[in-house]
Formats: sequence, C-alpha cells, structure tokens
Amino acid sequence: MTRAVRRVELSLLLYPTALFATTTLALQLVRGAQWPAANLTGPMLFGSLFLAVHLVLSARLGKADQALLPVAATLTSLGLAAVDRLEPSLAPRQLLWVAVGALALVFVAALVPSVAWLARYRYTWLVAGLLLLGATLAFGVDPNASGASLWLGFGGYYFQPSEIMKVVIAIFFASYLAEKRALITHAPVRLGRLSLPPLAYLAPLTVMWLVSMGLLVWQRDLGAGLLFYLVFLAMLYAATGRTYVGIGLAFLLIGAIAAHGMFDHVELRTRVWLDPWPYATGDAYQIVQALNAYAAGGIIGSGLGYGYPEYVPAVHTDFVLAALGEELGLVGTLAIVGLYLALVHRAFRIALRATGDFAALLAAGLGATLGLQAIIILAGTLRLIPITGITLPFMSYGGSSILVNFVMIGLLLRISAESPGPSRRHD
Amino acid sequence: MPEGVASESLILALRLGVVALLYLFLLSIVVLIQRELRVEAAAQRLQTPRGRLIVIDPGSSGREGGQAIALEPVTLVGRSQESTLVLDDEAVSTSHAMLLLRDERWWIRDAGSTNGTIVNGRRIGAEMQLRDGDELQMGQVKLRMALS
Repeated sequence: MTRAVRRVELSLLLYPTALFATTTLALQLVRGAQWPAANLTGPMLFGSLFLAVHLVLSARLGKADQALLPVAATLTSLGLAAVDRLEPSLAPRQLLWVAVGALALVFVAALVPSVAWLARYRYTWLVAGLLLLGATLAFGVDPNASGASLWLGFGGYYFQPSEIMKVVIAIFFASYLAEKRALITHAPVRLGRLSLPPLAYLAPLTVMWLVSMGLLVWQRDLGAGLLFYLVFLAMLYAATGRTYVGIGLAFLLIGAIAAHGMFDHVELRTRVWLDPWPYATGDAYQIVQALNAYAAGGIIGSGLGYGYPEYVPAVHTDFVLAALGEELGLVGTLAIVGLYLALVHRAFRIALRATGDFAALLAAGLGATLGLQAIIILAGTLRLIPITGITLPFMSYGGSSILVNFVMIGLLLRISAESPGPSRRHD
Repeated sequence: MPEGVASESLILALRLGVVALLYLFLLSIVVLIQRELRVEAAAQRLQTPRGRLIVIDPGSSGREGGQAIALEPVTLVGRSQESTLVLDDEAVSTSHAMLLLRDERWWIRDAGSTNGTIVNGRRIGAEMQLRDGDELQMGQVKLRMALS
C-alpha cells in the first residue's frame, strides 16, 4: 500500500475542529466559565478522531475523494455543538457515537473486499435488514416517547433498524438496477403518451418496496417511508434516464391521499401543516414553536446559548435546525444548507466517475438518501411540507443515525477510491 | 476592564468566528470544486479523440448534406431541443440514441426510440462500438461516423 498525501483533506479538516472548539468555548463562557479555565477536551478528541481517520485513509485509500470527510465532519461538529447546547448531559454520548461512526467508516472504507462484493450478497443484506425491521414489530420499544416503537434495545443502548435499511435499500436497488438496466430502459410498456417501466422486471423492486412501506406505515414511521420511496424514484431515474418520476410522484400523491383517509396521524399532520395556528398549543405545538424559533433568530441569530430553543419539543433530534436557526440565524441555516449541497455534490461527482454501473448507482443512491433526508426534515421544520419525523443527517442526536451516516460516507469514499482519476485516462 | 465586559466581547468574537469558519469552509469547497472542473476541462480538451458525424441524407431534419457535426463525449441524439444533437426529423424519437466516448472509443446505444437506430443496415440491440466509416440511420436521417 502506498501512502498518499491527502493534503486537501487534512487542511479542510482544520475547519470543523476549529468550529467545534469555538462553539464549545462560546457555550462555556455563556454558562459563566472564565476564559483560561475553559475545557476543550471534546474538540481535542474530535480533532484527533478525524486526524486518525485521515491517516487511515491516506494509508489505505489514497485516491478517495478528499472533500467528503471534511464536509461530513463539519456537519457533525455543528451537531455536537447543538447537543452540547441543548442537552449537555448527552454530549459525551454523542461524541462516543461519532467515534463509533468513524470506526465504522474506516472499517467499511478500508476493509470491505470490494464494492462489487456488496452487490454479490444483496439478498443477504436485504433479508437481514427486513428481519431487523420486522423485529421492531414484535420487540420494538420507544425510549423517548416519540409515539412510534422503532427501536431495538440492548442494555440501555437503543438502535433504530430503519436507519440500517437506508444503506441496505441503496445497495439492493443499485445492484438490481445495474443488472436489469438494459431491460428496464429498452422495453417500456406504453400507456398512451406515458411510458411505464416493464412491470415484470420491476416486480422484485416493487415487492421489496411494498414490504418496507407496509412495515413503515404499520410502524407510523412516515419520514422513512417517504424517504425510501423518493430514493427508489431517484435511483430508477439515475439508472434508466427515463422520466418515470412523473408517474412515481402521481403514485405518491395517490398513496398520500389514501393514507390521509386511512390513518389518523397522517390526517393530523396534514391538518396541522395547512393551518397550525388554531392548534398552536396542542397538536401543532412543535411546529409553531419551531417557526417561532426561526423567526426569533432573524438574520444573524441570537448567538449560541442566548436563545430559547428548549420550547421546541424534540429539538435535539429531528428539530435541531430550529435551535440552530434561532441561535445562528439565517446566516447559519444557509451555511448548513450549503454544507448539505456540498455533500450531495461530492456523492454525485463520485457517482459520475465511478467504474461500473453498480458503484455509480450506489453512490447516486447514497447521495440521494442523504440529500433527500436533509430536505424532508428541513422543509418539515419550516412548514414547507407536512412534518415527518426523520433525523437530520450528521446533526441530530441519535446513535443509529450517526453510525449509518458515517457508514454511507465510508461506502462513498471506497467507491471513489476504486474509480479511475482523470490522470489515469491514458493508461 | 471589568470581567463581564471582557467575557461579553470574547463571546461576540467567538460568535463571529463560528460564522466566519462556516463560510470560509464553504468557500474552500467552492474553490476546490472550481479547480477540479478546470483540471477536468483541460484534460478533456487534450484527450478527446475527435469524432464527427457527417450528414449523408438529412431527411426532414433541416440539416445540410455533407455537414460535419462534432461529437461531445456524451452526445444525446433526438428530436427534443434539449438533445446535444438535435435531429428534427419526424421519424426521429424525442430522445433517440446516445453516443458515448468510453476507453477512447465511441459507442452507440439506442435510447428506446420508436423506429430504432440502424448501423450499417442493421437495427442495433445492445450497445455497440462505432468505427470510422460506419453508417448510421435514425428516422430518415443518414449519417457517417468519421474519426480523426
């Protein structure tokens, strides 16, 4: 193994470390600590952790994308700052989860035999993922009273299988679509002016999608259901270049209307989305408080530690952007949106340069998952779409979410390391 | 200076620092992307083997016979105005075929067209490699592949 100098990555990693040090210091001063006595253990651990990941990548995957890890680290540092601000007692635990995530990233990026190996065992991953998801039906617990039993507990630690399903679905769809791409693209069923994908070839995808949707609807996990469906459409589009998206969105609308009629909690979400104000102290309390938080923040924000984000329920998990929106203002929220854009840009760039259809589709699928997930929850907290409980990638408090987000980054790094760089075109 | 004021101004400085760090980071990412794009564009200019399509029979596409059309590394042929190579012939599908440069060779792939893509008199099924002098027919338009 040759050692490559990943100078760009190393210098970019200075920003998240400095950012976390700055926010930690600011919070301690706001809480009344005196300047020389400030405790910077957290940022130092954070910096060493990412330095270690950087060194492993330099040793094993010299050619991997250099901007991806720093972008993820910057989002993570903001997430750590938010947890430190909102639930200081949970901050060490979140940092521990980041460390576990970084370990998983290194494991996936450096130790997975090859990207193609993932495709070979796609049914294994799928069955394992569905079993875990199914297990929540029987043994699911709800440790933080969110109204849905989506977690599996092991001695005080909780784990959310629908997070794992994000990676499993991306791998499964990518390998299936890569194999059947020609068939799906070249033999469309025509229905007047619309072209439908040939249904026989889409059957396994449809079944898989129905199973996961069924579980999610049963489990009231609307956010994950919406995310899986949109990722499915995005990957179908990436694989075929055909605009099945219109039909897909039509189905989504039909599904949404059906769900609206069938499930009380869907009807409630929609009602509260259309007009939250009559329910401001009841069902719409969370979204109204989030809107108030954004409004209170204004353009430059109240400053870290100076807002009142504790009025927003679940502010350290799904609604973390509302807290940052209040304390960092529009300036901060726009920077965060920019960071997610950069993340998606890297993922799609990796997809475009990847060798082989599977690797390309997997990278596109992972990019779509991260981007769509950010959009769904950001738009939800801003009342642009009905709120569906889903974590903000890298920023929300929560072990499984952080862990899986880092696994995705590991996969993307791995794919980019196996791609020929522009300089290799002449070999 | 009283303790409180020192602390206040330090907090204000840190607050500005957070925003500055965020935007400096984003700026470095943008600069990086810009540099990557420039390097790639330069590499592409150097390495693209020049492929052209010569119009033999324009059909009703409004092209001129004998016209040479330079190919992009990914050229989408179709009647749609969004195609890289627009052939406004009534028998050409909205998006008809795609020509791709891969491993320094040109490949053609039908994009699900109604009337098919014909290379040297045969309708193509899967993707196939194009050689110098190959004759393509899409709708009523006939073209010749020219490599140089």
